Amino acid sequence: MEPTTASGFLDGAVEDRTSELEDFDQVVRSYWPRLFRFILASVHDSGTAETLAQECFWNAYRSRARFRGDASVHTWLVRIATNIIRDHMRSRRLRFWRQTQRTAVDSGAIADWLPDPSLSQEQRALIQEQVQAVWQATTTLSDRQRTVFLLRFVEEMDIADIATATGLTSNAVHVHLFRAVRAIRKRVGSAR
Amino acid sequence: MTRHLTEDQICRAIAGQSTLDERQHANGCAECRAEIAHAHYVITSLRHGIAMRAEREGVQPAPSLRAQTNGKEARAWAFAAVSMAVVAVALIWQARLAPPAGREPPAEPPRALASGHAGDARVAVDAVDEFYPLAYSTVPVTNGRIIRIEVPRSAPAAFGLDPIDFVRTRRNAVLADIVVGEDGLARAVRFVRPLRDDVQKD
Repeated sequence: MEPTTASGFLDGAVEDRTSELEDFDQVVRSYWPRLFRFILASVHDSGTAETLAQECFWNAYRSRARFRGDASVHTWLVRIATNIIRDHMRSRRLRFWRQTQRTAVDSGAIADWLPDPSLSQEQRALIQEQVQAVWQATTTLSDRQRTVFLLRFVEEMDIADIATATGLTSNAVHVHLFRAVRAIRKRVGSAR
Repeated sequence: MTRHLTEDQICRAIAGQSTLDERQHANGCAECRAEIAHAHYVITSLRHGIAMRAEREGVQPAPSLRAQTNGKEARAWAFAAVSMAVVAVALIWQARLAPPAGREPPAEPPRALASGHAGDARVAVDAVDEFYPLAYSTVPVTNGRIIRIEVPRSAPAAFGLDPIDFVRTRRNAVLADIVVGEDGLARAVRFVRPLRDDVQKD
């Protein structure tokens, strides 16, 4: 359930600048965890994710007048975030050499959590290995495939919202999602 | 013999895009159902792992937008203040250097002494020396100033003058006065002759 406190502000209900800022602070507080999680899943680095999340909210604040309310605030923020992530990825590709990021999230940390404590040690090890492999495999996907994959499976957004957030058609979202799953399974290997 | 779902059909099932026939098969086939369930289990684990990690990494309160705004505004105001200061200094500087509005450049050459460039020699402009028009001499000018510079010794020769008649600087150049309009274009030039005989000549 998405918070509804932001919609009134974004519709222009609040006129005073100070109260706008206060309300937008509420928007930041409400949506920061989800945006940060999505960006972290995209860039695999907590420091970068924090920077990009701040940039996302700053861009949202500056362009809040253009928000028409066609989509939810979360979808609107995700759309801004996807653009920022895409620009970040492009600029990173242009670098000839990359500095190892101290805040990079290692795959082992992602696989720490397992929903079923009744699994055997072997089963846990297998699942953890596959979770790590899927986490690593997302980095090999194209920008669109990764975005669609993460929005569907990590953010659990429905296809229509993903289409709105990415600017793709629903059919294109389906295609990218299928290709992402196939590419990851090809890289990770099926359980069969 | 049971025909299981193909890899693409499994992928479609994971992505939630199965056809009715594929869903019916998955419901009746334990192996395919387990394959799909396992994939969903891995994805669920990944989702929770990311969520846990994000909660751990992003646990600090989100920075206030007010702080960001104030910082950016402060930088903008500082930049504007510095820009205004630079413009003000430039205007004051120009007002001090420029002749009063409406006054033409002095017809008579100034008797100002030029020192330093001409070594130890104290030189003055020859009162009878004349200005030679340059390429932009036909461009109208309402205000201008005379600037003394060093020019190569070959410059006087371009006007049919002998470089030996003019002041030679330490860098083996010749002093010249340039009339520059308010648009920065040079209108005329004259070369500085020595006033006294003790100036070094070739």
